[in-house]
Amino acid sequence: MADSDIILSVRDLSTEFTLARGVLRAVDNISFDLARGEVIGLVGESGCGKSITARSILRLIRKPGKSYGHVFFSPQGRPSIDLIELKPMGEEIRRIRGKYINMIFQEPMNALSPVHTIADQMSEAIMLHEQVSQAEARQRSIALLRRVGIPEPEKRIDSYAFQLSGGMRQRALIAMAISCNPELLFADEPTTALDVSVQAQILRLLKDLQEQYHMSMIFITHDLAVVAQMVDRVLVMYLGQIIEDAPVREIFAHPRHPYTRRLMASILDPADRREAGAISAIRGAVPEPIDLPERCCFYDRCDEVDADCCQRDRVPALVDIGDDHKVRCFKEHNIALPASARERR
Amino acid sequence: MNKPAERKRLVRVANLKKYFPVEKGLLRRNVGWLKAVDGVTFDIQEGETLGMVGESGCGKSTIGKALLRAFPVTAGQVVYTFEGREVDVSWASPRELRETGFRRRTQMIFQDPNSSLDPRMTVLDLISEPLHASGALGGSAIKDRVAYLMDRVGLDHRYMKRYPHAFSGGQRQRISIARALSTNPSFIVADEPTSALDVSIQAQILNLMRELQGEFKLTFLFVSHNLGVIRHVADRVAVVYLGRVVELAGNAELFEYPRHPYTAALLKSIPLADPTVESGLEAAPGEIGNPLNPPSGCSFHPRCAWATQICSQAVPELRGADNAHFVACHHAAGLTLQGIQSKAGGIARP
Repeated sequence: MADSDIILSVRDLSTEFTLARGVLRAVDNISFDLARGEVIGLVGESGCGKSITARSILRLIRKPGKSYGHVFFSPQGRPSIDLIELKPMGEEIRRIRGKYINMIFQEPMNALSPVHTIADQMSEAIMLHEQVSQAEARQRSIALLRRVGIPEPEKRIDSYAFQLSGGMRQRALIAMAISCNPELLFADEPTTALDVSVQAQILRLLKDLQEQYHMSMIFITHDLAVVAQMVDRVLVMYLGQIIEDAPVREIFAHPRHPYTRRLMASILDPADRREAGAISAIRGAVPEPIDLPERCCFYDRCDEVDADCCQRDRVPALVDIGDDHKVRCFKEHNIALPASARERR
Repeated sequence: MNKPAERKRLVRVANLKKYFPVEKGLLRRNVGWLKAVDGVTFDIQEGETLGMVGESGCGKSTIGKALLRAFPVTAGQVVYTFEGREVDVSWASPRELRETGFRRRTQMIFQDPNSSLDPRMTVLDLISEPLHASGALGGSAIKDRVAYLMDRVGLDHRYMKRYPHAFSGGQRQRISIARALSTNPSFIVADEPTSALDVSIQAQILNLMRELQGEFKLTFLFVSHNLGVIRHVADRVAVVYLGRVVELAGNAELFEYPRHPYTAALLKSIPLADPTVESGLEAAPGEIGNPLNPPSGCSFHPRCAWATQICSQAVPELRGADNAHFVACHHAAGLTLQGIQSKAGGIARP
């Protein structure tokens, strides 16, 4: 793949929060590339760092948080920019956010202003980034609301957020997010607060919009079923690290990291009822990422820990094991590497 | 699973209604009624888990709370059978509710342990509060009971003097479960008990609830919007739409052979964890109706592909078909709807 096909290149990105109790490492040295038009799923349980990753890329981290590393963003026909070098509140990042990169949040009620109409909020976003008149911005907003499936958009545009249902609010938020034709869209748990039938409508809409505008997307969710339906590639996160990275079909067919396997086994598949007591759980809970020992992040909860193989004082690397599949597990590395290489380590 | 015939009925719900007044203005003038539950009839058998599914605002939680007499009902009956004796709790006074043992024998587990557990009470106080209220135990017996319950739900009883904030989300839900078990109830309404938890923790809690069900001979009404959870925990499933039960059947029967168009639409909208087959991107058109002003006749008719004139005129009754499968649809007999085929080989159908 030529470099110009990569819209976002994340290199050794870390985000830390300095707290009284110690340094909380929410994002721990992650690297990945996102191709133009590709949809990546960032998957993991609460606290794994998936939302903080998105916020770090968008430079929305507030003090006492700080990000390190590189995030190279390359909009179409423009030179690439390292977003980490920009000031978090500066003019430059604000020109990029909202225009080239946008984000949809989980809870539309919190993301929308309660004291402004939909028209005000949409026009503001459009007029901030483009030289258009108030009337033009309104016309464009109405067209966008129609595109996202809001009935009678000429009337609904003058509603306040509380006058719309949860599904309609999320549609309005999506309309706002795509109003300046962003090249990269983050969707942070966009359907988690919605009912299944509304979720199905919103997922369909996002999929259609992504294809129509050929947007690159980073889809953040804890729901593996949603991931299976929506993304091209899956990055599984645990304690701020990417522990597995593979194309969606590959990872569902051959999950390699023990955590990914346990996560998949704990899905309650309506087509596959398990009998009493047999729902697969992961023992214990996710530890707090403060002053963790230097070792495999899943060491304490893993059922497949191997004393000969899992080293206590080293963090396993994210290693390519073929088929565009990367995994951060000592056991997989030792299987994947030739015997000679294994001895050298 | 036991044969239904061998099971005894624990709860009988007949034509239950709960309307909330809608008030307006300074004088709180009554301007209408929100019909949260509008005439539901079903039974719950001893020892079973009845799953109750539906979307937000459909009235499923209100049904659960009405069964526990959390508030007076508007109409209808809720009759419990405790040791062969029938107790109608729908109109009983608070005193009767206590004296018949109803309050002790029924408990509730809530969705979010962060808001259902008082942050200023220790785990000991939280778990023993129902015991104090029922007056069944006193003194050191209470402490022993709390220690036993904590161990039983997988918590270390040495932590009984700690406050809820010192526990993780999953552990807090274990505290809620121990609290619900404290009075040795026979019936528990679990209202979305795992919706606030991560999947790996959700599995722990569901497994725990299943173990406890056998050990403590519990009957559950399990309310959830998550069809995957319901598929794994329920023996029978009731589907609720705008205050009415539209379908009620055995678990496998309902998921594989739904007979109400709403149930079928709901099943179609579930995404499956299989990237090779498209799913979860289709739903019934439009949105759930307004419970303040529900559509006439069958409340699902504006969204239903099979609706005819009768559907907007008459409310369909919940009628029994074969296999103890109940459905409230005028056209149920003529429809063949698609469900979710079980991977483990489905139930046999003649």
